[in-house]
Amino acid sequence: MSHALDFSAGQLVTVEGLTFRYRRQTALAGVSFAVGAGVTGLLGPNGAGKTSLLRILATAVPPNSGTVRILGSDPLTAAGRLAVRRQLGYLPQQPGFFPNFTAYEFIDYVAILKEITDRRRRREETLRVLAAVGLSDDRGKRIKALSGGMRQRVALAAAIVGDPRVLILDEPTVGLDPEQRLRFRELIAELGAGRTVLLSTHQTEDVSALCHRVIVLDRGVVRFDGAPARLTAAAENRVWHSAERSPQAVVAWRTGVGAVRNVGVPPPDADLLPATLEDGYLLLLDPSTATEVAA
Amino acid sequence: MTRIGGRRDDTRATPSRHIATELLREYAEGGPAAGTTTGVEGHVDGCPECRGELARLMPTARFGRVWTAVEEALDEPRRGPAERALIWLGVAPDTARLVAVTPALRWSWSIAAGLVLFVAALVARLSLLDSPSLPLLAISPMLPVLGVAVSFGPRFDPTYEITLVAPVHGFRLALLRTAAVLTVAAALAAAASLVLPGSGPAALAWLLPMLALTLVTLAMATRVDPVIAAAVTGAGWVTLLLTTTHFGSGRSLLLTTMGQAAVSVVAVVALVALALARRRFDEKFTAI
Ligand SMILES: [Zn+2]
Repeated sequence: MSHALDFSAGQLVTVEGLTFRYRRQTALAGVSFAVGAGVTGLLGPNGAGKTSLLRILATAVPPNSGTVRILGSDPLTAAGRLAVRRQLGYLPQQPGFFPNFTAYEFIDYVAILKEITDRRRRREETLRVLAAVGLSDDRGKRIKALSGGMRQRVALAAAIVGDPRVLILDEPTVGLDPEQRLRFRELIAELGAGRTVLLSTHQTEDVSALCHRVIVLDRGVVRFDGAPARLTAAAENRVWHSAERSPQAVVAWRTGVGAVRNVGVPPPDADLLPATLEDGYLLLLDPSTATEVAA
Repeated sequence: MTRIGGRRDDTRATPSRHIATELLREYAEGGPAAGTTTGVEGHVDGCPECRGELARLMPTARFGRVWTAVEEALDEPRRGPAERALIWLGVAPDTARLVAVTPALRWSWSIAAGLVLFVAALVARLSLLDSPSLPLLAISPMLPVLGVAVSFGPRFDPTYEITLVAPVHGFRLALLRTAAVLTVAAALAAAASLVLPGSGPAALAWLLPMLALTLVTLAMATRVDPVIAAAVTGAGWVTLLLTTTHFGSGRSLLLTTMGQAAVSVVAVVALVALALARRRFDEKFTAI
């Protein structure tokens, strides 16, 4: 990796040589990176190891080997873990709720879990995070009566209770309709100012819209680590359209207008198209082009 | 002073049925309506129009003050009987809340446990057995074991993952919740013991096994799924009962002083194992 390990800045999440086995399968096979403030996207297909990595960073589970430093603390020690947990917000992949609780009651409960024992402070914080996710007017509704998008906002509100400096968000935009997705991206972008946000997604649009950095994970290995624009640039001159699927294409799909969008090594006379992040991502996941794109 | 109370309703205000201005005026002046304000506050809270109307009817400062208090009262978490009892006993409200969300403290569990014990006591009462204390001895200790099984781990606790990574002390949380489950189970079993025909101290022979089995389950749950821990504990208990008890005559080693002493030793060993494994509660509770 090109990123030098730097514990001195304190604002960093650093992992080195992480391995993790889950249900007798290798979920992580030696993952190393370091991230600072801002929103970093963890992109990868299902089963790439994204959730395992985020659960390790969230201190939900220890790795089989490797080191983790979050804000200078080692979550593999009891004291370090407590220090990390006091600075951490976590949105799990499948956030759970007490369905009979109102949104307010649930956030109030989470605030207790985050050691906000003073009643007045807890109320202020509960109202603050509910307002931040736009749920002030719906805070009295029971969670079972809320839509999927609103529940996801409750889960995000729970993650930001106590104003943590590190936010771990596992697929925060999954299951949201396009409008909610936009609103959520906006929210997360705001949270990224001055904080370290690590989010996983399998949507390249999420990454282009809000991440200053992308780490592509595939079968437990980091395939790419850098600015999303760099991954897009790697696909430049490799996207073309044609009437039928080109034999040179690594990936090809028929688009709405009837033409085929090909990604791969174009033939000499190809009708080239501007590349997107998704094109770069697809080239990266294909073994025949992966090394070239990652370079 | 305006009385504060009531709940927000899930549906919120229906714009077609606003509060009559008369009623709002009475509320604003703290008149007759003020004593029965639940409907007014619940509606006004969700209806900007009526809130604006009320604001016009009250001095601004007073409206702000009253409304802040009303909102707080409407937001205030609802507390069940167990939670209220804990607060009444002097437990801090935030601790009481952490305990009250224990799945096994829900009414459904307590009612089911109560029914089982009632049947056991009834069997004993009808003298279907020579030793009336046996059914309670056999059944009571398993109740908190089942309670522990459904109170920990990702299977039954929907907030397992965020609780695990919260800074709140996992071991303290586990002990608090287990103590709550034990207390409810012990209270139910004690109540069932009262209806037994006079069998003396033997009527309370379930108490030490209950404690021991619960501690064994909790200690095992630091290593395996709580449901498996409960199943193994249950199987062990059944085996122990079958090998030490003659159900025909009602004689049981567990009803003797020596038997009770042996059970106490098991409880102490489990307690030590639990204390040694306490850090596991802050790591991962079970492998998932
Ligand atoms: Zn109204």
